[in-house]
Amino acid sequence: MFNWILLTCVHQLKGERTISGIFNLLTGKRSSQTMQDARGYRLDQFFGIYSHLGREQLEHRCVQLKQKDLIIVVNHAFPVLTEKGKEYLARYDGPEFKSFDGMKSHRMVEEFQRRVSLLIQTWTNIGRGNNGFIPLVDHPKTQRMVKQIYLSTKKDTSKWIHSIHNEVHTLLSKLSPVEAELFAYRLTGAEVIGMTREQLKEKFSLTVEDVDICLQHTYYHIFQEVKKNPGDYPALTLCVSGLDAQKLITDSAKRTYRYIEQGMTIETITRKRRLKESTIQDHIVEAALVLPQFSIDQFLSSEDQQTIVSTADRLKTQRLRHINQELEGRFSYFEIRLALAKHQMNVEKGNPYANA
Amino acid sequence: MQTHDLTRHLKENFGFSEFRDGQEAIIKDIMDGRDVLGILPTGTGKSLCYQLPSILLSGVTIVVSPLISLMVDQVKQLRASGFKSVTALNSFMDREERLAAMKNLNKFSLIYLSPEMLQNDWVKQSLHSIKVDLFVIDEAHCISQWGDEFRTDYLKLDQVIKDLNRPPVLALSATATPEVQKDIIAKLDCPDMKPHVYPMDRKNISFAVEQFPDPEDKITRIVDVLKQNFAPTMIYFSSRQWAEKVAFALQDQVQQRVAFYHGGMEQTDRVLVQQQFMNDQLDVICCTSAFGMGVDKPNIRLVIHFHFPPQLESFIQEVGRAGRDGEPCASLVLFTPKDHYLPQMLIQSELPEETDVSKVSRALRSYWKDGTNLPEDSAFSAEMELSESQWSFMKFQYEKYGIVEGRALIMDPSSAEIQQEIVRFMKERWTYKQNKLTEILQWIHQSGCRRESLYRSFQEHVREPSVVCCDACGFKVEELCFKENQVSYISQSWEDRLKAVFGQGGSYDA
Repeated sequence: MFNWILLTCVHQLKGERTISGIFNLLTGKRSSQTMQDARGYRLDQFFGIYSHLGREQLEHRCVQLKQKDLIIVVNHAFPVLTEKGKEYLARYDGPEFKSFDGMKSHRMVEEFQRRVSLLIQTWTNIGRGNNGFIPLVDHPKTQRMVKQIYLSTKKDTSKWIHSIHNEVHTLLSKLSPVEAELFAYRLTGAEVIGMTREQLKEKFSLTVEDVDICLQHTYYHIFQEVKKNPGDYPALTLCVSGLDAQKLITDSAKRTYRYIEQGMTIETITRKRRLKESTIQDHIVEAALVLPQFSIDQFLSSEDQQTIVSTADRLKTQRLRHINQELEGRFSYFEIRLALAKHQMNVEKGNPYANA
Repeated sequence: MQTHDLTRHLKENFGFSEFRDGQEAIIKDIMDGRDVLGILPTGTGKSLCYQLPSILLSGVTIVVSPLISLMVDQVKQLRASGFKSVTALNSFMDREERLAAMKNLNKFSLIYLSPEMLQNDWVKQSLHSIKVDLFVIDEAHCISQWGDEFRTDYLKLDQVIKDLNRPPVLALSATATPEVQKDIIAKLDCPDMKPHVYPMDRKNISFAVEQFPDPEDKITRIVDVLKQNFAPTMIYFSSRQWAEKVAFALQDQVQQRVAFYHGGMEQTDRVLVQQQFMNDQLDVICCTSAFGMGVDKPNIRLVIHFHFPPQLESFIQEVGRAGRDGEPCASLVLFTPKDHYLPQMLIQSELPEETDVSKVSRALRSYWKDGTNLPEDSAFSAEMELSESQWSFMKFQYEKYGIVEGRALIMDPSSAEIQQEIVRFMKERWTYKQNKLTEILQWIHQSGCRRESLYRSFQEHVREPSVVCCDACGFKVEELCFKENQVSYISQSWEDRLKAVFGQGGSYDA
């Protein structure tokens, strides 16, 4: 399952990105490079879906894929699918995790997950008259939120417990059995404490990565269903309030963007913010990736943008060096990245990411 | 305050109708404004000795505690039991959280702090603006250089107390020999401190120690013991790898529910394992010393040491988790002839070596010459190839001689005299720790009564046990037969499991 995701990444990246690139993608590193990769290689659904994945853990998995001849690593760092790897993807019949949409919602799902598990723990405990329990979730914001929910539902806790039970049951029925089982055994109620990832792994004979991915995916699935049909899931709907898509741009990039809006040049901003020129350029690429209204014409004429984009299309690559060589060095790497970023933004327009 | 008043407040706030041994006398003295030294064994409700006064006193009670996890657990438990005006200030709080807490310091009646936080200027200033009615030092033995968990930050507490207008002081510890007790009083500069010392021997534990040629034999032994005994069991390790390894072996070979627990696990998983054990969903827990802080499970019957800790004090604390309900329980130590290497390595990783001192001194000198501040602690210790505890040990020495203050260099650090002094002190510490290790090794190898020799240095009189005493006095592990856990393995569907989670009927397996 996790292997399927990894191999899908390797496949889409066409040997143009390293294992680190995959790591940054899955853990949701907020850098213009990672976001641009996610878009450019059509892997945005996996962006940030595995935030606590360890670097060594991933490397270990890649070594195993290599040993199974599913991938080879070229130039020491760039994984590529073997024939056997391609076959694996073609024949894969496990869950395809269609509900992942990390780029858009990984932050929201993380919070949703915390709220749901804490709310279930709270309702079931208080429902049995047990007001003293150690919360599973430490985040003060989540705790405040769940407390509010609890207070607003205090009058008929047992009705709400009944409701959330039915809602979870309905949603799990639509998923693969393994996902339903993992999810049910992970939950903590008043009398039953949930299982650790390690215990789940043993019980269901999976790898810990498969456990993590399945649990994550179930939460994505539930989150989306609840958002789509709030009327069908009144209890879970309480947990999505306030969770709306936010702009992905980092604070620092936002500041650079504001200076650009005021008409400052890259040089001025570099001096003013005492940052490296390359950092400011990263910010501009980031802004172009996520802000639909951002025009890059002051940096690159629309003709030049067109030239770069069509060259990338023709070469079927996102590799800057290749594009740069093909255009005989007429454009800097910054200009190429910027043109690609803007193009990716335009492609995404009209689709939810436009305001993500 | 009158006795009946205290009992009434105890009932109202904590729901207990009577005090446990020692609590009441300590609380009375505190309420009379006296400084108190309380030596109470683990599991006898030490924390109540300041939690109750904190409710009764009008000002704030400050508790200095060296273990963040312990602190956080206690705050959680207090909040869970309805005591809301409590907070813990520590370096793990995010900025927002910390700001919010700092702004409202006055509103809390109980504030837990790590000793490092007390050295933070901002924290110091904020504390000046509030009225502190009681200053509590938990794990007070950390102040003593004769105590093994010596913490350099603790030596600065006397100054903090003076800066806070000298509120009454309560020093608490579960393990303090008479010499450490004297040291605590001296280092806190509270000469009139009144000692309340309660015996730490546990009458309901039987002790046994067994030697094996090889670590694998220990596993076989544990399997045998667990095939005979079904009761909540803790197995202590000093390495995470071993804790995991043995947990896996037991899962295969024993019909009991086994899990491991150590500090390297993800936060949620840690909470889950702890609660499963509390909730009797687990029978056996393979853990490092990270487990057990704030765990008050009454029915632990068996504490096995797969590795022994580096000093008797820790051992006493760890076996003290058994049998808090007063029912019979047992301690079993398993060792091999090579087992002393591990604690030896631990000591080495904690203390710097002589060459480190000259290396650090050279580095400090170049910072002094350049007139620049030192880097962050973690960066500097990495640069010097020292562990963080090695650097914090040395840093404190340099602070003591006024060479370093925070990250600034105050004086030329190249004095040979001071360097020698630091080396001398280091060697002293090293010898001390070695002696501690020798002490526990002697305890393991001796053939006399284990109870007597274990508690002898902590109290004048060791009490008569209520169970068979120890292997020297006729206790046999083979005769142990605990049958408490009713394990039934039912396989269930996820739908049944959901029902159980939501309390809508449905059985569950662990």
